[in-house]
Amino acid sequence: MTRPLAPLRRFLVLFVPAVGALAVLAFGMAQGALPASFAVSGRQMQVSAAELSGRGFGLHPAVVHSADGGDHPVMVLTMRSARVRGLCQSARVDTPLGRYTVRLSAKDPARASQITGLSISATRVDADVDFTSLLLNRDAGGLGTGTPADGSPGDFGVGAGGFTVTDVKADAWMVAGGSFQVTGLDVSFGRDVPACF
Amino acid sequence: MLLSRLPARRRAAAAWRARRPFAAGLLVAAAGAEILLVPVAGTGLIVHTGVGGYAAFLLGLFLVALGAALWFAPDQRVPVALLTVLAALAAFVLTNLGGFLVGTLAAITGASLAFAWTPPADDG
Repeated sequence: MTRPLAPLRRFLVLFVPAVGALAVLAFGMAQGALPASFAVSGRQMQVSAAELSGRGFGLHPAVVHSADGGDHPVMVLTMRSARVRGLCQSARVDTPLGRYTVRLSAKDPARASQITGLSISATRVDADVDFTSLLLNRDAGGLGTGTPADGSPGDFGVGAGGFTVTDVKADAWMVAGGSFQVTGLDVSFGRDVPACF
Repeated sequence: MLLSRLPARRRAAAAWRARRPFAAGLLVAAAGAEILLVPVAGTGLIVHTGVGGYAAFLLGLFLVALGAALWFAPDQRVPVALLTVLAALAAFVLTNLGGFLVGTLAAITGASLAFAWTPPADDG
């Protein structure tokens, strides 16, 4: 090297831009510019939310098949697009080390997460609901709400143009077909992680 | 000189360390181990973000390998240091915030130390 830098200066030449890049990444994640994305499916789990609102709601009965060959009658709740606050999902997992809980939740309950094409196969839903343009017992084959999946023609169905649900608690087999934009995702896995409810 | 009073084996080890960015490699390898072990050490705090479990495993191993490269190929310290910084930044995004920031910061510090390291003047 013709003009050697002092060791400290050589150190800073790499260290300062690297920490700067780290700060940019951290800022981007905090702002939700680099959203954490995930897709979930599979076993019975709990889904809860403080508030869920959006457009294009449908409900119809269906049967889901689990990996162990079991059939589970469920109601399928579909939503074309939704904003959700206080989203939380948890499932119990049996490992050789005992029963663990996986929990995904939004860190800041005041900030809304955006969900499109959401489909929840639930066995039980507990919520306070406010529907607009509601149609009970519409044919499940054509709910016409633009939701990702319709039921079988002839089945009971519920369709609604808009909806606001508060304090939702659901026991679900599957949450699928959606894209989740969650700002500030908190994912915990451990023996003493609390379930959502 | 102080070194001459040490037993021969310790003096040899010190000479071995002086010929390479020893502390830098150690720091990078330790950062990799920390990122690797955070998802494994099962406390109630543990975080998995989607592919985070696999990413922590792969990036942790990669950082350990880069730390070893600093020790055993000190001539290549500049490209290895740059790769270490990129791997540390990737670990921050893809794993549990780079082992809760500790691993990423340790790897960046180690990489910068390796980048600043120069071989001792050829005196024997």
